Amino acid sequence: MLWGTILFIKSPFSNPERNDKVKNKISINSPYILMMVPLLAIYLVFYIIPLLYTAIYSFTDWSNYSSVTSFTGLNNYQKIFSDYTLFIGIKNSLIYAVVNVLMQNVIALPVAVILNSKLRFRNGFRALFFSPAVLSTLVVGFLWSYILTSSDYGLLNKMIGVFGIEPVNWLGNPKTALAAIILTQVWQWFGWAMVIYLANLQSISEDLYEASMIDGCSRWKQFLYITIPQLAPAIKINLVTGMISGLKVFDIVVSLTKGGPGYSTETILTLMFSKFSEGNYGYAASFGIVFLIVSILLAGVLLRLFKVWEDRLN
Amino acid sequence: MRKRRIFILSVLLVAFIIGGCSNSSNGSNDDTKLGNKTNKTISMIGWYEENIMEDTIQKINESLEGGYTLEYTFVNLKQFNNVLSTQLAAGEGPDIVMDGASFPARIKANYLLEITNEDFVTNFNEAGLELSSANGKVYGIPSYGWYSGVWYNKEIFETYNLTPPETFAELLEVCQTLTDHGVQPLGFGLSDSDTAWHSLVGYLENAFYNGGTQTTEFDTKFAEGEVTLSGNLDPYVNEWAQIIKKGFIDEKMLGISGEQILPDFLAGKIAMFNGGPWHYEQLKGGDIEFGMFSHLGNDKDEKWLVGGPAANFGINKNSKDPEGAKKVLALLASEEVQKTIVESNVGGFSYFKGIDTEIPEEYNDIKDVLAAGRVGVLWDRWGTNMPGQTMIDEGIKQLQGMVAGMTTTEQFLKAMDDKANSIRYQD
Repeated sequence: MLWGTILFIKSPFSNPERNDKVKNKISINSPYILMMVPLLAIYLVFYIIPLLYTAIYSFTDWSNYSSVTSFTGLNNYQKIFSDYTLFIGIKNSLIYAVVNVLMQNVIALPVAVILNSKLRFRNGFRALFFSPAVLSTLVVGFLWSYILTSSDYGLLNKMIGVFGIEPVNWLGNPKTALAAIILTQVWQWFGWAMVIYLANLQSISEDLYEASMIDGCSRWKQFLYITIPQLAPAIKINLVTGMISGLKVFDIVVSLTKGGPGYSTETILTLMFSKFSEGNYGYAASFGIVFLIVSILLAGVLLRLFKVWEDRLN
Repeated sequence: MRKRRIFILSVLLVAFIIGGCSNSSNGSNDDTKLGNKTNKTISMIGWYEENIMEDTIQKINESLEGGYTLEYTFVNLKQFNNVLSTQLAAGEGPDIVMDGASFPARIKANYLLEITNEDFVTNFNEAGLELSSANGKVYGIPSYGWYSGVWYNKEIFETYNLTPPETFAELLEVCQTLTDHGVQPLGFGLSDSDTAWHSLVGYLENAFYNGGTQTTEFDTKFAEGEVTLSGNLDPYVNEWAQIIKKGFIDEKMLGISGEQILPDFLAGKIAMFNGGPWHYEQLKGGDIEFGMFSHLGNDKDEKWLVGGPAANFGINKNSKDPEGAKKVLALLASEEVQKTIVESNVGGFSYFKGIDTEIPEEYNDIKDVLAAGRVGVLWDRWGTNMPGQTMIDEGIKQLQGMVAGMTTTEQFLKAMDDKANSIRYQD
């Protein structure tokens, strides 16, 4: 952007009066632009360049097993769409992202509302619910693997056994494995969403609630017609970031099931990782590009839906 | 003046960031390092922990001439393949390349120097050089021989008047007897371990290749894409799958990790589990009497263990000091260092001609098998033309599917064929 502006200024076809204005603007903003250079450099080195390389490699047969790399056109993409595991990965990533983000927010929102009231020990509860988010996901996965294990000392099975419920093969049954993974992540991250709701709740004017009470509004109606619409920014942040990070799920799957049993809990990123591990870098790169496109599309749809909702609220 | 200062500061920050991205020296990046860095450092990375490698590295450094020092960096096995692959693909990596099932892949990718005419190559027998040779040329030397079998609890066997089984049919009978007495016969942690895969491969090694209808030549043909597993292995996999059908491997095991099996075995809750010498120290630390018997097929007189050369050592073609690396490789191939390597891996055996290792009494049931050299594994033979590790990973996944009831024998073999078709080097 900076180079574009400089070239524009030097262009012989540009308007001299406008040039002066732009020059002045740059002169005023140059310290700030320069301060941004390190950040832009990080962005360039760690995101833009790797992304461009990934896109280029996705059209090659670069692998660990050949010293020669050649351009193969759309071969990798053709291969991807005939690979049944990709569809399992996309399906699981979507299920994980949607269910996880919905469950997190369905729990986080009422908890945040309760903890925003003048409750005793509310700060303690806030810290307690937020604390799992501080832990590394790999550590959480390791801990939960012992809680969910189907061996005799599985904590969760022992707990439900107290109520006479038969042990469940949480991680070993293809029908329950993904649900078990989601459960651990709802536990870990709903506190994060709760904190964002709390921050937003504290910015809602008390006047709105007082006015509604004078009008005879019930608590439930206050929640529906004041709290929820006023929380639109927090809901947007929680859903969009939750959805995008949900699509990127990787570490918890690796630490709990490694994508198994069979391919039943594979996600796009675990598959991409296994393609890299196999040494098929070109093929793995094409997985990365497909993932990027799916993420952009989904984020775009979500943002569009929010815009419609916000417009309606306004 | 202020702007100039900000500009200089920005430039310095950018330089610092980009500088931080540049490579250090030899690609060894983390974890533990053994050996002192000097001007002539030869690097090596591996997944053997420092307590296993310490004596070996020390012995080499004591004998290294010319001011060289060998520096060893431990990398966790789970990350090892990715770390080494990325470094080699970037034209860098350690001077000494250490790898197991993927060693043929490194040869194929032209990452290794040929060492066929080096004197020290003749120190090893043919089986030991199998994984590090291609087209009649040698690119590496073995460390020691690994193998897997079945650990069993002697006290439980004695309690029920059982003896180690001699055939696969006898193994099923033993399992049934133990089940009838309320003892869990076999322990498998299938959520993350390859033990069921070892069990199947062990059966195939005994029933299909040796004493069966085929020889190991079948794998050479499979590696080249001339035959398929599907249509050839079906009856054998079906026979092995009796172990699933009879419930000795069940769905519950899919929710258990490999490391959760050992405590149950040591507590006497499980009578047998698939494993190898790498479990020995932990088993020895327990309070039970145990032993190991071989994988089984139909012939009680000719049993085979699953195994082969463990890590192989070769010289990185992009090494900045191939002469120094060659000196280190020669020492790795010396009798003294080879003995040290085997001693550090209790129960392992050597491919070095003339080194006979003494193995503890717990291995008595497999002594004859080891002495006869009946140790082999199909993925090493497949590895001549495809990445063996990828086939192992696919095999584990498909077997999980079989245990979960999602995959039939036919689908399992078809999936293995499809995977092989997609990763053959000559495709």
